[in-house]
Amino acid sequence: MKLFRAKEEKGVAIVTVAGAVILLVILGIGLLSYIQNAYQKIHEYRQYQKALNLADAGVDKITWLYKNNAIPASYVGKIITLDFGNDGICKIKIEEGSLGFEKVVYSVGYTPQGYKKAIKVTLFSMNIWDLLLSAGNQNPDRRPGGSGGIEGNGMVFGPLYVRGGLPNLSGTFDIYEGPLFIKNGILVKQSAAGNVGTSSEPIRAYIDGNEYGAVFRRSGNKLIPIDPFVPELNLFISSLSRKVPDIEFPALTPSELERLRGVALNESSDNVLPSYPQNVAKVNYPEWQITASARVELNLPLMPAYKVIDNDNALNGSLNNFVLSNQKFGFVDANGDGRIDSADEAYYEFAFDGTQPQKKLVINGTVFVDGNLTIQGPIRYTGKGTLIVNGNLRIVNTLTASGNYPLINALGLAVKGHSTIAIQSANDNIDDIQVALFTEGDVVFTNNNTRYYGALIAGFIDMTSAQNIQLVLADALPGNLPPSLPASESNIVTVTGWKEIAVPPGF
Amino acid sequence: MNKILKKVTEESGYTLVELLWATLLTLLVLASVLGALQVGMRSTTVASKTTFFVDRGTAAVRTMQKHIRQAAVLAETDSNYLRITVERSSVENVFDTYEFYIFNRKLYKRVNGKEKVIVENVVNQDVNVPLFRYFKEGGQEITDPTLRKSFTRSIQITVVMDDNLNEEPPQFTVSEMVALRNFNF
Repeated sequence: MKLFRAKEEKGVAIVTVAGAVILLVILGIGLLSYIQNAYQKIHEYRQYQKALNLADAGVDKITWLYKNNAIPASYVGKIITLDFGNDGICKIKIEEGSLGFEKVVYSVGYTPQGYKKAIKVTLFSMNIWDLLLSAGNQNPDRRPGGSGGIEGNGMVFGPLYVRGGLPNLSGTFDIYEGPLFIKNGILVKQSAAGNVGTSSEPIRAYIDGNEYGAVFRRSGNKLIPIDPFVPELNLFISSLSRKVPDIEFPALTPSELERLRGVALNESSDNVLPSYPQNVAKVNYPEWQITASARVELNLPLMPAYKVIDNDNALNGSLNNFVLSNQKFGFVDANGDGRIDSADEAYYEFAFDGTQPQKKLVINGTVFVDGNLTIQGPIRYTGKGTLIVNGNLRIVNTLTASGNYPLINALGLAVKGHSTIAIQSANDNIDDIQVALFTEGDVVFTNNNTRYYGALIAGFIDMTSAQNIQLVLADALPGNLPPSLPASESNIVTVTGWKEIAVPPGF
Repeated sequence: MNKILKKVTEESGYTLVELLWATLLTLLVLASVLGALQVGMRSTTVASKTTFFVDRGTAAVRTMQKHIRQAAVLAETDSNYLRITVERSSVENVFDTYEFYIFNRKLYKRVNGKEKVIVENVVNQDVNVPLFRYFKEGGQEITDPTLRKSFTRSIQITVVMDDNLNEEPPQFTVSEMVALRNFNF
């Protein structure tokens, strides 16, 4: 019995131990492969993320180069490699878009381990004054009906940028020449009345639209998407892109207003030579005399300098409502020939004569007005200068250049508040206004038939209480802007159409 | 052999006190072993739940992140519902509509009307945590819904998951911030 049991138990231990070891090994291998799999997934995710970041860094670099006008010509049209050291490389290709300021950028990021990711973006490099008739506010929902930047009865000729859409484009509103940019909105055509483009000159449209499309017609309360390339409803669009640049609307902040006030103050000091016009021989004429006489003429005893229309030294809108109407100031013997005549005008920086039926304004450089300003026309101006208005602006009657607009003579208006344009005009093609106007708030046209020729940037353009307003671009104005207009010197580069794509051939 | 048998039969049994002590000791040992086992079991449950939820939650958040960062239009921007359009990767000017929302504790992704559950046991609404929070440039949150379409520059996605709100462990949260590439100046 004893012998039998001993014989049976022999070797059982080794078998048990071996079984246990095999079981543990299988479990271990399973666990190891699970961990390895999880680690591999994390590793791959991180590598792809890194490749994506490299591709993004390439786009950032190109954006920076465009912002600083430093993009080498050799970068366009071929594949360029950007080396980010130990982090990896990025290969970039820039192609020209359909508009001059539109570029298409392909960017592929490569990690040192060989993982790659590709993105494609559309890049807009422009100055907002290139758009000329640019309207829009950062808050498109502030208007009943959702109109973003413009509403009413009139015609627009030139590049129009609207934030918030044109949901109520009526029969009394036409858009010609283009391109038309609509950010955060759609285009709705109510009827066949009113044109968007013409059959002979269809326009390019950039409308981001919504999930149902970009261009619609209204049927009762319903909006029905329509094919933008079928010229129904007098809608003539040659190309439609859903990639729209996101343009930041500039602001006249208190610090910016303070800076501009300082510019005007500095320019009206003795011994500081006029900055405009730059090609005129400089003469040191006694500017304190002009300030002294302007104080009397304008009835502003505490006016700090003749280019700072104010009654104290603070930025507080102290003028309340200042009217430029029938005063006369600034006309002095500037060239020192013993006479005050038209030969002196080339040296003037700011002078006004409202005593004649056709009023005269000479302006060069920057003039600051601390309060609401009413400009009572009709006025002809000479020079290249800008009025900064820390309040609201009202223009009554015509305000035009005395020839050579905008190459030699161009008036800028930068308004912190709202602008009202009240000009009763005939239904003709004669310009009533020739200015570059920036208004942080609304621009309201109150009278019929006003023809505005220039550049206009506003939070909102309201033509609802007037008929037949013409807003016409002045092609040469963006290259000949007067000084101190907001955002006139900075190049805006915006990225749109950012999307991940498969690595394109050739990369 | 007889000697041994005699010795065994001569030994008297355990006393009652000895038996009680033995029982008590056994119970004490068993209780401590069971306690340790219970703690182990609970830790295992927590660990496996954590792994499960973090795994699923991360995958869901990454899916949303991938689409949201490419958004071309923010069509609707609610705290628990987001509708965007995204340009199709391989085609120009063709846009797909993506929607993300929670219904019956399930997080859905709907593409051009076709919906799919991307993660279950989502309890954001139970614990009052928004699925989406919207931020402007500079990181300030946009609380006014009417301003979101224009000002949003990044979106924070937060997914809170739990299979039983009344039981330990508490909820699992996965949160990520995504910068909107087409909405940055």
